[in-house]
Amino acid sequence: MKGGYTGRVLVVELDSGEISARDYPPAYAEDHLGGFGANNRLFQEFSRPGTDPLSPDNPVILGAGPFVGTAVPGASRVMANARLPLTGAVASASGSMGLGANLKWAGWDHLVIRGAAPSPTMLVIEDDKVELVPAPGLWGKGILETTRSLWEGYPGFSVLAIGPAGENLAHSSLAMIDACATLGRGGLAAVLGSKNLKAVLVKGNGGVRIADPEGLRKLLRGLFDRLEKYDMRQAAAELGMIGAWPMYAAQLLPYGATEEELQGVTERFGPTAYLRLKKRRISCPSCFLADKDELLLPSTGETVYSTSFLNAAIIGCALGMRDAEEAASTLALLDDLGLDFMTLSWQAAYLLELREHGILRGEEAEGIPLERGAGILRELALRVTERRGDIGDALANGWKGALSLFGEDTRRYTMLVRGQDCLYDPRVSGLGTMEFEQIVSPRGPTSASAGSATYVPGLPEERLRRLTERMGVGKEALERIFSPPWGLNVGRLTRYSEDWFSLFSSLGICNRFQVNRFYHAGLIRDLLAAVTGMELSVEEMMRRAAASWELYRELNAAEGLGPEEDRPPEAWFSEKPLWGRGGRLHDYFGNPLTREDVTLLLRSYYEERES
Amino acid sequence: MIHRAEACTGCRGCQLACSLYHEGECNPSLSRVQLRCQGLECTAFFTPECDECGRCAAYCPYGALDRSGEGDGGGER
Repeated sequence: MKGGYTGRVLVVELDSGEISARDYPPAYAEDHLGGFGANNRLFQEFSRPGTDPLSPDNPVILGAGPFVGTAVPGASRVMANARLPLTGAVASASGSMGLGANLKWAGWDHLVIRGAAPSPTMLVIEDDKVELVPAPGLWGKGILETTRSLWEGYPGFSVLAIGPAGENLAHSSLAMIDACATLGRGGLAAVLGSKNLKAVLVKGNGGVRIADPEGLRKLLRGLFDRLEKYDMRQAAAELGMIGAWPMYAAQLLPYGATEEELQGVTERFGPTAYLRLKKRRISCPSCFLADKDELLLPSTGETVYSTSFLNAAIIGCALGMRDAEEAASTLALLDDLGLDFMTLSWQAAYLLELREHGILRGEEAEGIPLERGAGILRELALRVTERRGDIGDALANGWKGALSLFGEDTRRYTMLVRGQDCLYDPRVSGLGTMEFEQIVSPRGPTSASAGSATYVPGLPEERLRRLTERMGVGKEALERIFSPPWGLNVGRLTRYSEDWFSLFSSLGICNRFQVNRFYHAGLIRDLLAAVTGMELSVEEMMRRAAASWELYRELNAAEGLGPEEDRPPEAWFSEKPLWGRGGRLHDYFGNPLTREDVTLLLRSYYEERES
Repeated sequence: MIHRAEACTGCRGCQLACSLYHEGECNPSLSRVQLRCQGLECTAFFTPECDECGRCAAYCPYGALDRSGEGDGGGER
C-alpha cells in the first residue's frame, strides 16, 4: 500500500518475553481494510475456539486502521479483540484517545499480546523499542493514579491501563485509555489482569504516509467547510455530547415521566449542571467533537476525567442521584476501579428490583444500601472489585453469578441478551437499529455498533431513506428496507448499519453520530483512495466491510454463539417498569410491535445478511 | 502564531494538518507546531521553520490557534 498502513504487526509473548515483528499480510488490508476487519483475521490466526477467556491462550489483539494517525477527522479508533469472560463471546471492542494514533506513529498496525507474564508487568512501546517492564508497584492502584504516575515517567505516552477490578478478574471490568476512554465492556481488563498485564504504553515518533497528499488536502477542505456550517457546531464545541441534551434526555427519562420530571432531570444533569463542573474539554486525536472532559468537583476540589459527562447523566438518572457532582464523582470511582458503569448500574437496579419484589431484604444485602442513589452503586462497585461477600463475589462473575446466587427465576428482573445487559430499552426509544442490534450483535449488547439515522428520533421516512442511501446501501436493498408493513424494516436496515460500523471501525473513524454525520460512502471511498491508494467502488468497499462482519459472526459461531443466541429479552414484551424504564414496545415511528413482529424482523435480518 | 492553551483539547489537528501540507504525510514530529504536554494538557510552540501560513489555525476546530495576536483567524485551507 502507498499509505495508511505501516505494514507491520508487533507480536509480544508475555510468557517468554519474546518480542517479534512480522509483516502485515497485504490481504488483511485488501480484503478487510485493516482495523476491525484485520483484527478478526488475526484473532482467527492466533486463537483456538473454546479457549477459556481468562487463560493465557486467549490472545488480545489491538489494531488501528489506515485513517488512524492521519488528519481525517474523528479517526482515532483502536480496536481490541479477545474472548471476554462476561459472555464468552469473541468481542471486537472499540476505544479511542491516543493509543491507536501512537501505535501507528510508532510504526505498527496491530499488536498481538499472547500468554501471561509471571508477575505484574507493563508493556512499553516507543517506535521499535519494545520492552516488558516489571510493574509491581502499580498493582492494586486505581487507573487514574496509575495513568498519572506513568505520565510522570513516560511523558507523551498513551496509556492503556487496568484497575483493581481487572486485576481481580471481575467480568464487568474494562480497560481505560489515557484515563478517559473505555475499552472492552464485558471484561477485557480481566483478560489483561489474567495476563498480569497492568498497562500498555505507546509513543510513536513517526507518522503515517499518505498516498495522495493533495487529494487528501482537498477532501479535508470540503469536510472542514461543512463542519463550519454545522448548526450544532458551537454546542458541540462547548458541551460535547451534552450539546444534544434534549435528544438524550428523552431516552433517560423513567417510565411515565412528566414534563416536570424532564425539567428536574435537566436541572440536575443538563447543560447548565455540566458547565458548573466543566474545567476543560478533551479530544481524541483529529476529532472535532471533544467528548471527554476534565471536571472539577467543587465539594472536594478534586479534578477527574470523564469518558463523557453524558455517562454521568445516564447513571445519575438511572439511579436517581442527587446532582451532577454526585453522578460525576461516582462515574469517576467506577472508571478508576476499571468497571463498566452500565453493567454495574444495571446490577444495582436489579438488586433494587429484588428488594421491591421481596426476594432480597435490606438486612440480607451484606451492607449494600438497597435504596436509589449513588450509595448502592458505590458500595456495589467496591464489593465487586474486591469480590467481597457473597453478593460482591457473585456479581463479579457477571450476570451468570447474579442468577446463580439469586436464582434463574430472577432473570425476569433483568434485560439480558447473551448474558450481557441491554443499554437501550426499545420501549422507551423505539426499535431502531441500535436497539435491534442488541439482539443480533455477536458479542452481546454494546453502545457502539449498528448506528444509523434511527439514532435521531422523529425523522420523516424520506429523510431516513436519504440518510440510509449515504451509507452505501444499494437501490434494491433500499426498496426492501423501506417497505410494508412497518414502513421501515429495522431488521434489514440493521444489517447495513453493522456493515457501516464495520467500515468505520476497519478504517478507524469514530461512529458517534456527531462525527459520522459528516461522512457518506462516496466520501469514504475517496478518502480511502487518497490515504492508501486503494481504488475501490462503493459497492466493493461495502462488500469488504460486510465480509469482515461475517467473519466476526463466524468467530462467535465457532464458540457456539450463533444465531440461536439472538433472543430478545422478555422484558421488552411487558409494559411493566424495569430498571426505572418501561412502556410498550414500539417501532421507530411509534407504532406498537408484538413478539411476532420481532420474530419476523429477525428473519428479515438473516435474509438480508445472506442476500 | 498564538496558542490559547485554555481552548486547546489536545486533538493534534494542527500538527497533522501542518505536516500534511508541508511534508506530505501526517507526522506530528515533522510538524512546525510542537506540543509540550503534561498528561493531557498541552501548550504549543512553533519551530523556526514555521512561516505562519496559518493552516494549523484553519484546521483547529476549537479556535485555539490564531495567526496573529489580534485574533484574525487562520490562513487558507
